[in-house]
Amino acid sequence: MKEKLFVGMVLLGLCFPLLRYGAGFRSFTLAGVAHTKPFPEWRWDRLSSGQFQSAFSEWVNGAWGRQDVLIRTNNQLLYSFFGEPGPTGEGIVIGRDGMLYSKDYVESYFQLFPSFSLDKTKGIVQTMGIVQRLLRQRGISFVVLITPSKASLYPEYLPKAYAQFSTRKNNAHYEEFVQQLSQQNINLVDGHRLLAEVKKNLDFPLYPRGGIHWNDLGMFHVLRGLITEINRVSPRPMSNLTIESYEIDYTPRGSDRDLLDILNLWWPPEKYPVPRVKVTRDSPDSTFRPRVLVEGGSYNYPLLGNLVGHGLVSSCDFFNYYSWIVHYPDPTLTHVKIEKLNWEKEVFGKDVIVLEINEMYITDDLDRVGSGFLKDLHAQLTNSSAPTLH
Amino acid sequence: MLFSTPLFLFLFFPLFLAVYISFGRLRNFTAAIFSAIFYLWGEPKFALIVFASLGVDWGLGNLIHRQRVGGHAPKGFLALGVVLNVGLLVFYKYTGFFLTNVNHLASIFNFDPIPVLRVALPLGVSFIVFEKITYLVDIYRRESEPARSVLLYAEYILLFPKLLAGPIVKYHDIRHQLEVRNVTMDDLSAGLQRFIIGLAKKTLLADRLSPVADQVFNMPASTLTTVSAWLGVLAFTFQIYFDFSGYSDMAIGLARMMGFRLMENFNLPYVSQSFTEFWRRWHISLSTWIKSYLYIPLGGNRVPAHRMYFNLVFCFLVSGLWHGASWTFVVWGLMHGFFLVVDKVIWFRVSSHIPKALNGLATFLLIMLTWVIFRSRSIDQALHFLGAMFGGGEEQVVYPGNVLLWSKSFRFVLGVSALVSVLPHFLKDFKFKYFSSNLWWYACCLLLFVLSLVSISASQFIPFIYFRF
Repeated sequence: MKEKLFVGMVLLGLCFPLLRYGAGFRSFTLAGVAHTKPFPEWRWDRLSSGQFQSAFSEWVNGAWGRQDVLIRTNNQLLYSFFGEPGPTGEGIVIGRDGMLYSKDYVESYFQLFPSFSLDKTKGIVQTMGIVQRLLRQRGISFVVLITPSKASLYPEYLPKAYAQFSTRKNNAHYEEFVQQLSQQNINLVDGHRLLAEVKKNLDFPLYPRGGIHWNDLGMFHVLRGLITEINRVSPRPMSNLTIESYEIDYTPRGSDRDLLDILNLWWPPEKYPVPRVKVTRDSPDSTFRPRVLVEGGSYNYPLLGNLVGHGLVSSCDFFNYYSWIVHYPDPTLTHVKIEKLNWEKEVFGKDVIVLEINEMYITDDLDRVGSGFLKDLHAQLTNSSAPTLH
Repeated sequence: MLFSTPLFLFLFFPLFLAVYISFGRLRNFTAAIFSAIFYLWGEPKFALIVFASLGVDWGLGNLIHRQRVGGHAPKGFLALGVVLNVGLLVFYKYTGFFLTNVNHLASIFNFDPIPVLRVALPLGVSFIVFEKITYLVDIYRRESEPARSVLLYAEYILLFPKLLAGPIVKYHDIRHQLEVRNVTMDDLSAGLQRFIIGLAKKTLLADRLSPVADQVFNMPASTLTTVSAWLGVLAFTFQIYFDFSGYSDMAIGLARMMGFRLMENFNLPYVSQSFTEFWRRWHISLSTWIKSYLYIPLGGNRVPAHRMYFNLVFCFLVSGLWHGASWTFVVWGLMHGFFLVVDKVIWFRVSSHIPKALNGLATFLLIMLTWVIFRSRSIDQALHFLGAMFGGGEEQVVYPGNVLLWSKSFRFVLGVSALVSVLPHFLKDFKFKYFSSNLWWYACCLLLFVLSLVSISASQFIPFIYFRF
């Protein structure tokens, strides 16, 4: 009897995905975006070359192999027993006190990426200087915003495994780059320095434990810093925001838990402090509401959402990695066709252009600064070369 | 189609078992057809050559048998069969290696290079060829009669449980089972238990060790530290054992569910006290094949000592080459041949005076060093790696992959692997059986089964956080 039960249970386990799929249970409740393979096209030539077999295998892996219950169980076991992420979180580093980091940011902090040429960054900063000057001639203010990385602002939570890299000059790229920007008098908002000051007086982090990006409090401090700098370099000041108060909430939502969600655990540690900030608008009678263009990454979404939401700007366009464009207040992403970009209208028709660079993306390759936007902007202003084609 | 993939576990195997059990009288036909499909699935083009070759072997086998019955010694047919099979192996496996080395020599003498033909290595060709040779030789030696039909012969060669990675089954060991066998509930239960153990070894141990082994062996030489070199080779030492023995367990388990009893292929090899003992415990089907079909025909132990030593080294040179077409495998094979000679010349006498634990440790360490050669991409890399192991490594760690070496799960799995690979040998009165009807053992197997499925499923979903990225 024991034998029959054992055999029955194992065979049922092997048939389970097939039965589940056959019964129509195809729901897939895990966090994260993965491309599901379609059922492969059947052709004799694809069969004889082995292409059909590979594609069919991948389809089966996705349709039957990917069982959300099993995946969560695997991840939970690894997390609970070893404090490590499962395969769904392979790009995540789990630090002390459950602090989560995106691995790219951690490796960048320890300069584990290929070498970096200070001479080349000097060239990039000089290009920025030229752009700043030429834009000023057109009545446009140019500001560079350095957004911090969680790893560089909160290295104390990094796991012991990374202590072996501590002898490397951590974060040298950022410090040297900022020094170069200052030397060239580039209009700069150093988000890292700003938040490092704020951090000293707080008893909770400015980054949510389970999120890649800053929380609202961190974001608003940098937004205030950005507006302050824009006002310093612009002929007319715009309204700014004042942080009135904040309340600590222990139910993180949305991007405050994006890394935590991707761990795909049964019992995620989701009780951590997240500030809900109340802000008021300074100078409510100020009539200057600039037209703003920002080029950068995902740190800008909450920043620009508040810039627009509090009525501080008359228009706001966002080039996301110079590949996608958002015309606020419409949150829809549209693919940017660089060769069809109307520079006069979409770029030079602005009052302020902000180039956001995260510490992690400081590079010595001009083609990669602003995903090529700086190079094209310089070319358009000096009319010296064709735009970067993606 | 690997056994540890969803395609095999959730589709091919349940379908096969359902048909195999339901149509008892057509067992051989079912096994042959499903095995052919299994092979066609992975090798659609080479499969046709294999099928044709099977037909030729079967014909030659019958000719050899007829000649034998007639009192003749059909060496010609045997030689033809062996040459055709070895020729198949040499063409597909060694052509590129041979031509590349000829070209190296030619370049020294300023000759023009010969164009190197890039031939894809067909699945399981090394195992298939050795088994085809045993069929012909067993008939010649009158250890077996030919298969009653080409279908039975095809079933023997293509039997999918052992097709990809063995065990190498000698024809005389399976001939009777091909014709007469039953499948009982006991077979299903024992087979599933064995299969689950193999699956757990592969997915829970080998697959957890391989990222670290791969990471270390792919490190640039300038970033290899002494610690990472030792951890990397330890990881590979246990990875290769659990990967290979796990696959053998799955093969033996699957075959058992079909009513076949295949030979054991591994017997706790890392407890060995000598290289001789190691090869009685590691890849037993290969070492017994080499002994039966190469070493003994060369004279075995019945020749003068110097000739015997030469035969040993030669056999392990062949074994090394069988594993792969590269100088690293040649050197690996030669090292093992050398240590086997050392055993006979001096080690057995000396080791009887040394504590067993020390003996075992020394043997284990030497075997680990040979795995460095086996795993390296080149002799150069192997030498550098060995240098790093013995103090020549870099001091400052700059390689991001080193983080893996600190991982708790890796160290846990390494510890468990070390324990599992030797502990059963030291438990007093412990007789390790791969199956039992004990309730706790069933529960343990079910737990391992679930954990294995959990691990397999988890590796199928590696998402992006945001599509924008």
